[in-house]
Amino acid sequence: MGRGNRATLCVIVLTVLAVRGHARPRISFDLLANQSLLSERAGSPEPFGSQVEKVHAMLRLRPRVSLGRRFELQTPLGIVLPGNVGADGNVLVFRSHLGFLLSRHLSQRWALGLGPGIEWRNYFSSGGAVELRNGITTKTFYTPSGSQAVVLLVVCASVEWFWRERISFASDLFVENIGNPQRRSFAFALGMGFHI
Amino acid sequence: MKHLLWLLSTPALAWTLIGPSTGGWDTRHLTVFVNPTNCSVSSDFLNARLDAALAALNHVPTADITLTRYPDAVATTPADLSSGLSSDIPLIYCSTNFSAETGTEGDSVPASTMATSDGTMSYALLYLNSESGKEANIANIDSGKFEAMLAHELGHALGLGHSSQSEALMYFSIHYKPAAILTQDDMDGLTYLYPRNEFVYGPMGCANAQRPRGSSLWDLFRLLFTRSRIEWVR
Ligand SMILES: [Zn+2]
Repeated sequence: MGRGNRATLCVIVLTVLAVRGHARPRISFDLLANQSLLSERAGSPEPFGSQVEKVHAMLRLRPRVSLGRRFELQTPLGIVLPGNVGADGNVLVFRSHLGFLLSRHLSQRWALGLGPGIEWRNYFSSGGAVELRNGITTKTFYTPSGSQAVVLLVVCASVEWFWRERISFASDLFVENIGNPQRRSFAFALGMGFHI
Repeated sequence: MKHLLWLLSTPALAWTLIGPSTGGWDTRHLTVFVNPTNCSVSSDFLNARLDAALAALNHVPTADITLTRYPDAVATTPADLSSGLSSDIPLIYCSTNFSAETGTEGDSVPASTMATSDGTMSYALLYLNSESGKEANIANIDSGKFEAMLAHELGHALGLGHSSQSEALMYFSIHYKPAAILTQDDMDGLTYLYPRNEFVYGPMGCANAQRPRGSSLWDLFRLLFTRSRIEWVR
């Protein structure tokens, strides 16, 4: 395990140990609309902008551990549905993410959260051959067989507005590749949280 | 689990690979070389268009391949690559005898790529149409389309096949492409070939590590095996 991995694990373990004494764990179930690659969409001329990733539903479980009166540790685990399947039905892309957010309650109704996260993209493919145009003739091309995984470190920021005791509205921003201007991209999610 | 995910999915993507088990180049940084000797456009024009095409391919958030242009013009020819005199690199070459050399119709095809079609990518040669009197000569293409065409051919050089999605950069025709813009479909294809894993190569891992691809003996076998599987894509 690298030095960075050990340090991250230590931070998580210490945080959990530190809050054990007065933890009031709760879980929220969030239903959100998620739009990825906002920068791509904004920077693309028509008709290509409309082809960049569409709005998808995101289902999310958000365990919350309170850290005193104002602060809260959240570990949201979300999956984006539906995934995308290739035109020939052979390739599936599936996205999920896990965050570690420190949230501060500004008032009875408002809370702001910030923290690191991990995003996974899993590509599943069963393989296959497709005959497609190639110049003025056609050629056989292939979809791969097997799976592939992408792991991205992201920065998550969230704003939450509590409407009722058990219902809130949440808005989240995810920044991928924050230190790499060439590949930096944003995803935005907006939706409702139901507290159990 | 996989079948459950399939049920929760919608049809959208259409990217392909050029071979049944194309695995991408065995590197995370690839340098593209240009031999502008026979080009029907100026070297500066070609370099500027190529830089735009490389930038488009380099900004995929989920992919981990970075392409750069070798700053100086080279004199490497396709014959040098084919005979193994020069190392296997993506080379851009202008052909004044495009139709005969690539076996395509020079009035409709502006560029053609010869690349490894299977296993690890190790060979890529982009022919640009500089045949005089031909409609698809690169001198007749405007800047945006030129950039789209170069990015498309470089997509082949990286291992991508064509997409059936007409908006995709990897669609067979660049007729309606105003610039080198990748759609989600293109990005997913590149990501599959060159997945970004920031746990291994990012701030929490070894930043300069090579992409692992099995044992060196297997690599040698694969290289010998795949060298014979080189195909044309337009
Ligand atoms: Zn093509």
